[in-house]
Amino acid sequence: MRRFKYSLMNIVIILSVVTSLCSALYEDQIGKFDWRKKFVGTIKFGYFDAQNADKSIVATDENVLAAISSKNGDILWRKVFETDNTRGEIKFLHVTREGKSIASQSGDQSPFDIITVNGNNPFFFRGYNMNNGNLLWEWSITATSQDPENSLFFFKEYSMYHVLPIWNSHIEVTEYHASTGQQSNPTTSSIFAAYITKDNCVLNGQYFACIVKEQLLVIDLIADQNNLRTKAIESPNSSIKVIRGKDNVIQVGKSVLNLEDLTVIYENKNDVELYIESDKIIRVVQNEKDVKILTENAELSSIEDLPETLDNNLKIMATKCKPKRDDTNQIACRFLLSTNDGAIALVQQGKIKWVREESLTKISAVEFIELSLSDAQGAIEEELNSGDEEHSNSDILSSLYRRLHSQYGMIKNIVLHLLGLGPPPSFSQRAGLVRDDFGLHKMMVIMTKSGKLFGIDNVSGKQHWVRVLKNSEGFSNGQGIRLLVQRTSKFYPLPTQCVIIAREKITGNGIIFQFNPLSGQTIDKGLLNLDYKIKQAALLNYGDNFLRPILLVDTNDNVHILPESSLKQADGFFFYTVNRQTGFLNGYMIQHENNKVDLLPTWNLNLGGTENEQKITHVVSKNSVERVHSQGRVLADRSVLYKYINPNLIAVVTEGPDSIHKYMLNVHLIDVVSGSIVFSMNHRRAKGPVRIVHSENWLVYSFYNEKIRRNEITSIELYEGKTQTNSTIWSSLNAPPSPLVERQTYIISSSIAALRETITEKGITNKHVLMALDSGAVVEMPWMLLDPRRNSMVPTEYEGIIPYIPELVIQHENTINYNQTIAKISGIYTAASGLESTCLVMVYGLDIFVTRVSPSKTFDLLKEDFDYFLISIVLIGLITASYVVKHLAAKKTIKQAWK
Amino acid sequence: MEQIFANRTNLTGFENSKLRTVKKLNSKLKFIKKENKSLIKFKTMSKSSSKKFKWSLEFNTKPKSDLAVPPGFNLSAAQSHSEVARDTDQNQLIMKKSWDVALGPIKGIPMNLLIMYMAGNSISIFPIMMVGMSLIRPLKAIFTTGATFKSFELIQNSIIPQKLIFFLGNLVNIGLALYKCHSMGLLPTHASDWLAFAEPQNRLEFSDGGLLFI
Amino acid sequence: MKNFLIILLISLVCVSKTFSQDTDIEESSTNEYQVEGKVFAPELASDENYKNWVQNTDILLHTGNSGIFKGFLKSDGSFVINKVPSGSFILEVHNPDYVYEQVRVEINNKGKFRARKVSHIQPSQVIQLPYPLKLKAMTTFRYFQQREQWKITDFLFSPMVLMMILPLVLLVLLPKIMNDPEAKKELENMQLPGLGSEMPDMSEMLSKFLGGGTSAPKQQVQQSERSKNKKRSNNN
Repeated sequence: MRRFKYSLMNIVIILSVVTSLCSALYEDQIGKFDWRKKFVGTIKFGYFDAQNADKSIVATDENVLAAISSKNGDILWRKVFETDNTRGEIKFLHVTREGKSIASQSGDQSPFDIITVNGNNPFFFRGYNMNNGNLLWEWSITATSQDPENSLFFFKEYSMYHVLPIWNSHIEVTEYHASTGQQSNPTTSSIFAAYITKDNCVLNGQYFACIVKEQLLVIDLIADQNNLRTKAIESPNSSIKVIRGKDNVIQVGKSVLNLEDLTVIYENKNDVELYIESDKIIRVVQNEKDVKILTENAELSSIEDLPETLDNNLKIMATKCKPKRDDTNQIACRFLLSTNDGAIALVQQGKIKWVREESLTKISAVEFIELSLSDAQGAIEEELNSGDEEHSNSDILSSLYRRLHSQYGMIKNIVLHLLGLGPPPSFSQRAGLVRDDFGLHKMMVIMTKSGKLFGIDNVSGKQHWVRVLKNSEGFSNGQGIRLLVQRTSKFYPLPTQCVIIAREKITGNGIIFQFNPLSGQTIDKGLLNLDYKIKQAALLNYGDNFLRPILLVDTNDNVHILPESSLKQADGFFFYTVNRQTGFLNGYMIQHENNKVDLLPTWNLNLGGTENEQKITHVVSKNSVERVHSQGRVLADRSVLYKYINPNLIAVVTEGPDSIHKYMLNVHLIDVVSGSIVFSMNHRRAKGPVRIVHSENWLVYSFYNEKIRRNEITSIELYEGKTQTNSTIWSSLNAPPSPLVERQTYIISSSIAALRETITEKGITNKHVLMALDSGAVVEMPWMLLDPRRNSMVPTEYEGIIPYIPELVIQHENTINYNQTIAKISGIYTAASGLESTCLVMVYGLDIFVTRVSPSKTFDLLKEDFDYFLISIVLIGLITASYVVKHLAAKKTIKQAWK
Repeated sequence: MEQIFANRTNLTGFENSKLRTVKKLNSKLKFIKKENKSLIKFKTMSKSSSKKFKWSLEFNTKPKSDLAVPPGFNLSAAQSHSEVARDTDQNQLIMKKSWDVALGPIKGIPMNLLIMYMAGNSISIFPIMMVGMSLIRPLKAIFTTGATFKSFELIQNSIIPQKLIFFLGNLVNIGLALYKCHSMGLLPTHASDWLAFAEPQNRLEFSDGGLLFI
Repeated sequence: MKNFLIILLISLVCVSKTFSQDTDIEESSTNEYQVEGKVFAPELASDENYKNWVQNTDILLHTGNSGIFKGFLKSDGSFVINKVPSGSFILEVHNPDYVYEQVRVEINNKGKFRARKVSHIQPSQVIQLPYPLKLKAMTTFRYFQQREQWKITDFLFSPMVLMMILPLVLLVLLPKIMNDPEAKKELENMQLPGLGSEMPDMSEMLSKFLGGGTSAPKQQVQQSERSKNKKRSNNN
């Protein structure tokens, strides 16, 4: 009881501290500097609402079922299934086509319009209402036969059929009543077919079609007898695929067949995209920049000057046609199109009504780029620059002349602008993409896994440019496409430069793409196909022209520097690689000799354990742009505990099974220059998913404690001690002895989807840790609460350390995205703004949420609700009052004098 | 608070003017007394006969010994003082006065200590103001030593010892104020006070890398 | 005890029910169960709000080992999560606007269900909850701070203003009261008779003090003289 009292007291203390710590939102700030965009993912199945096609029902590879408005592309409702494909993957979608709901036979169930099948054994069958997406019924099965993940499904007249082909053996077909899941026949029917193989068979509707040498065999899975039919085909072993739109059409080789009567209905000579809409074959013909959608005899729709974003293998996902009123033969159609990289477009009468960029659900890298200077500011900058260049005549008179000259130029520009004769404003000026006073306006450069590159405004969410890098993909080992900033916007008038490092899909060779992140235009050669495979890449320090050269190491350990003129820059650079499979870390030094650079191996380390049971799951280094303002921490006795700030420190997480403790989780802190292990942590019976953030002199990571079945979060802080070995220079080769380590573990009630620290320009502002929870909320956790020095249970007034409480309380007021939940959060990106107090945040996953946070409140900005009115009233009042009083006082003294 | 200190610094001036003010007060009191007496006189006259005047005020009459001195009046107060001033050697008096002035700061120390003790060690507006004043006041006094002792320079004797004592006293006061600052934690005597100015360490080695792409 | 029995009975019934359903669907799914329950909507103003509530509410079952299982609400607020293996799970109702308490659901190898409150600090503590689950919203989420509104009363009752106003009142009002003849009378009445005459006059006191104090400067001078001499001797 006493203990309870104690903790209660502690909680009260903490609550009071926390509420004073956080800078929560006010209700009137909703949407003021934050925005959220909802996405669905790349379409796997799509249907139009049968009645009036005002919405389309889509199922996507993100395990999402959604209804999208045909008018503007908004999401009307959305169901997000499990991320894990064993339960979440959408295997089948059926939307009623007859224009009326599918009522169950018994009649007591409510009618349903949509059926989905999710998962890979067990399979989940669900029925929904189309208007609001409400779940109506749900049942599930578990297949016991071998390879249940090959299962296929089709729907026919109130029944769901589960088709399980056992390759080279037989097909098992089970019929279920759609809404209840009751088996219509007590037994599963087996059709013996030893000829079926994985690559040569397809299921479309009730027909199972296979190509066996020179024959096409079609099995009707519903028919009781005579269910096998054959047809000879021209070329043996030709490919077989399903044509979308109707349940009984396939394409074999180049001929399109109707499976009901095995007649060839069309010859697809050019092998273009086909779709079937009410017995009409629709072709999609794409040349260069134009797309035509045609039937056999008429053109339905043609889009000229296709936007770049849609220029990647356009496919029809759904159509809805109506006969035109004026012309009896003609039909007017609405198409739901999708590209390989995830863009969705709705086309009606040759016009693109809307485009959704669904590739933004798979973000591989993000950077916030500062905008360029406005024209006027640029002129000032130029004036200053010209002074720098001509040192000989940078005396007062000439600079005065320059000053006057540029001001004359400005006035002239204004006058000309007013008259409408002035020079046209620059691109960025026109687009409103100029730096603001506080540096809050930035360009978000987003690289997606599908090779699409976006430039999005962080204030409005407007998409300024898009680029498609065809045939590019991320690297293996879960290493996505890299986006690196070679030159920031600070070096006016040199353009900002970013680079993308990716892998060619077919050859696996490296791809380099250099571009201007503000305009999206290519720099130099643009896309560069390398003739080697990239093993690792890194950015060197600023070289000539304020450009950071890229260092690439290929599979033969040759070093390449881009641009090649900066070879010297690489000399003495330390480089490390981590092998996920073997658990080996290798350290290298780069040597520049005789105009050649070489990798010089310096150290290696095995973290895989003796039997390689530990697998490296995370390698986390510090943010390269991070600045640490405070070099130490002030203790209660006013002495300083100096931080151990090692810029070459990385954290490596290994996970693996253990013979005694079932699971093991290790966290190693490694200096990558010297190769020394600075510190190691070991958690028994702990496993992932690990989320980790590494900054300044601390490390925070979350994991699952298997023993007590709860999520825990550990924080570690490193200190050099009360004295600093070298206050001016940090050298890892001459590093101080092993640091003091403070650590603490807290319990957290929800599992964490992503972790990230806030970052600011100078690092003066407190650091908070942003935690994305599985519920879709992003919580700002003050470092004070995660502090590993919170080790005493007794409240201490010194140092402002909060007493230790095992459970971390999540304050709802600290939720930065309030009720705007973000589905399936995969990462958080933070960037510094021009204001020291403010940090820009982007949370991404299925949705994108952009906002800004100020961990120590906006101390460098007047409050939003600053009462200008009151303060001016008070000022004016005081001034007038003082004058009046002065007058009165003068009068009084005169009176006094007369007395 | 400030005023008190101001008064205390002007102690010397006060001492100087004391004589004058006392004299003034005395003359005023005399005037009041006269009034009283004349009123009394008026009353008695009206009672007695010989009505030359209905009433009369005699401002220039000297106090007669037959009348009782009103309560609270001491005629000798001013006179005795002036007598002393007249009696003693002018130089000697100035000397004494100058020593008085010189010892002022030292005499103030116990009072200062008390005030400092009462102010506490918390940092808020009043203690800060107090500490600031107690620091600035002696400093000011030191810089205006010349002006303070100007009036005593008439005498032949050197006043350097007085000045020295005065200076030392003020130094002690400054020391006290500094000690107070120290105990309040206002003096940057700890390493932590210079932490904000510590520059980040320059890194010698640069490194990068990560998981293999292959 | 009675309650416990009832709960046991209910859970048994449930189990048997799930078993029967399972056998209906597939014969061999003996170790897969379904977690079911009902989420009660908070009192909502309109049907539209209720619809939104149903759409925005998800059930998350944290299994620890095999990720998160999801459940969806039917329009009446009930939910079922199928194919759950035996084990201990945390069930969470998630709605962006309403707070629901987490529940730990335990299914043993025999298919017995137990629902209890989640306590991370004391995992062994058992506070049982009814099963099938009945979940009610605890509160609404408070995401926002209240803006401080400027009120004249706040300003007036601030200590600084009070400190300024009280002397002002005394300065302005008291003389007026004194001028008022009635009040004056009253005041005089209030005073004890005879006291007023005995109160010494201020000026009188001052003069007395100064008059009597004439000796004080003398002493002082003498003192200073003495000290001066002392100092001198010291200096010498």
